[in-house]
This record gives sequence, C-alpha cells and structure tokens, in this order.
Amino acid sequence: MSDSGYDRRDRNPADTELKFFGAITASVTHELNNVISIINQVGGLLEDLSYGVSQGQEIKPEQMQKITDRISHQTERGIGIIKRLNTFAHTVDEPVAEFDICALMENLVALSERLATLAGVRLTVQLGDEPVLLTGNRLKIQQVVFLALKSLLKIAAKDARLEISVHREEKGASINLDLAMSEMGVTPEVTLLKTIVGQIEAEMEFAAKPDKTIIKIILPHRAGFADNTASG
Amino acid sequence: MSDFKVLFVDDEEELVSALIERLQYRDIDAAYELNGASAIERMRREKYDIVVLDLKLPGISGAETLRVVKQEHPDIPVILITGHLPSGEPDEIPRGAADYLIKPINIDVLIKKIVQALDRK
Repeated sequence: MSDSGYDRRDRNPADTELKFFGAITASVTHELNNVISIINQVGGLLEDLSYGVSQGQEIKPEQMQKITDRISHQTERGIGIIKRLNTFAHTVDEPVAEFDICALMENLVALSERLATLAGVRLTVQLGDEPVLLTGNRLKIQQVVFLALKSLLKIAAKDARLEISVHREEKGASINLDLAMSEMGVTPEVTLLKTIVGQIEAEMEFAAKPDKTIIKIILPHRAGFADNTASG
Repeated sequence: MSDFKVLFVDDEEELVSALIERLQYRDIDAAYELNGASAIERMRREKYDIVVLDLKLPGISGAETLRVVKQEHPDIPVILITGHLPSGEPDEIPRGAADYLIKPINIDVLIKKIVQALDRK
C-alpha cells in the first residue's frame, strides 16, 4: 500500500474511485473534527468564565466578544467545509454531466488544502474569469487531479508552492499542476495516474525540471465517461 | 502557578490557545508551538516537564517530532493527541508516548493524564 491509500496492484476503477472518495472524506472529517474541538474548548472557556463570575470575578465585555467571535468564526469555517464536502459528494449523482471545470477544481483544491498544509506546501489556484464547460464524469476527473496533486506533494520540498491552474483549450481544457521547489522523483501515483488518464481518454504531460515539476492534464470536451472505465 | 510546565504542539492555533487559556485559568503553566520544528527548538532553549503533541502536524510529522523529543529529552513524557485511531486500537500510537488523547479533548481528562504521566516519571 502506498502513502496515498492506493495499492500499486489496484487497477480496478471502482476500487480506486472508492479509495479516492475515502481519502477526501477522511481529510475533510479530520478538519471538521478540529472545528468541533475548537468550539468545544472555546465553549469550555465560557464555562470557566461563568464559574468565575459565580465566584465574584468580573468579565470584561471584550473577553465575551472575543469568545463569541471565535465561535462564529469556527461555525462559519465548519459550514464552509460541509458545503464543499456536500458539493463533492453530489458529483457522483450523475455518471455523465455538463459541468464547469473551474468550479470543480476550485472545490477540489479547497478540499485538498489541509493535505497540502500537512505536507508543508502552499497551494494556490488560478482560474479564468469565464466558466469552461465540459461534459463527463466529474468524479473520475477529480480523481485524476487529486492523484496528480498527491504525487507532487510527495516530492515537494518544504515551503514549496504548488499552483493549480485551469486553461481553456481548443479541444477542451487543460489543468496545470506546477510545483516549484520540488525534489526529483517519480512516485507510484504517477503510474496509476497514467492509467486513469487513459481510462477517461484524456492526455497527460509530465515534466521534471531542476527547479520545478509540472503535470499537465488535457481534458477533451467530453471526458471521463463511466462506460470508458467499466472494464477493469 | 503549577510546579510543572506543559508545552503544547498543535497547528490549530485557535484550539491550542483556548486550551492554554483554560489551563492557565487552573493555574497550570503552559505554552504552545504550532509545528514540530519550532517545538524541538523551543525545548532546546527552555525546560518543559511534559509535552502534549498532535500527531498531524505540517512539515515534520507528530511521530517524527516525538522521536526527536524522546531522543533529546528521554525523561520528558509526551502525550499524543489524535483526531481518531483508524482501527480504534491504541497499538497505532507511536512507541515512546506516555499516553494519548482523542479530540475533542476533555480538559479534566487532559489534566488527569498530565498528572498521571508526571507521576510515572
């Protein structure tokens, strides 16, 4: 088993999709658990202060304001995480759908931010102003980009920057994952990545330069159909 | 203040700062760092009696931080914090830890575990 949770021998499309779904869910629920833990502690702090008041201590209004601000901030953070996870979960509703690849990537990058932070990598996203519409299997396309992202995180130097950008192309769209400050190396995920890129009839370019590593995924207007991936 | 000093290591600043405030409210001397590297550096400059360390840290992992801390300060107990144990088995806790806690943390359980770990020293 590799660090990504994917087994090198695992080439069954349904299994790899499930593992991708599991990887995203595990990461996001970990972040949600942190949000709940913070609210729990800040609530506990409020209890401590209430107890102090019952013992004759004074609470300054700014102390109370600070606590309510912290609870509000974490509540908003939690709502944002749940919305992103919900958007992600609904991408499996239809095996084939028309979608905006920019919106899909924006959500995926947001869901992957914690993984990048844990790897010591700053993740940024560059999207065009206009939607870029494609038709296909959104889950499969997200899986391809996620695998590419994870393979780059594994070879990233500390404090590296990874930029994900989406570009309109004549044949559809391209997604560039551009890692500055990488260490040279090809990870097992690139092998699996190539397999899945082939399954969705997309193309992939991989360039390892002395100071950067780039993975470019070129998606046709119609990409990632379920029937392309049925054989395993 | 307590006669022992606690160092927390967790990248969730809102969480660790609230925990520190609650410990200080109970007269426990505590400080925090947001990553393993800065915690290791701080422990080379200042003396702490116990470390409470999150397993998921950016950069140097919690497990690696634990290894370095135990190598440099073998007598200082380290309590690990984790969001969950994938199989639910404490066997997954890296060797060298005095104890572990699962988030969300109950402050009374935390203090009890700190005191127990210090008593076992």
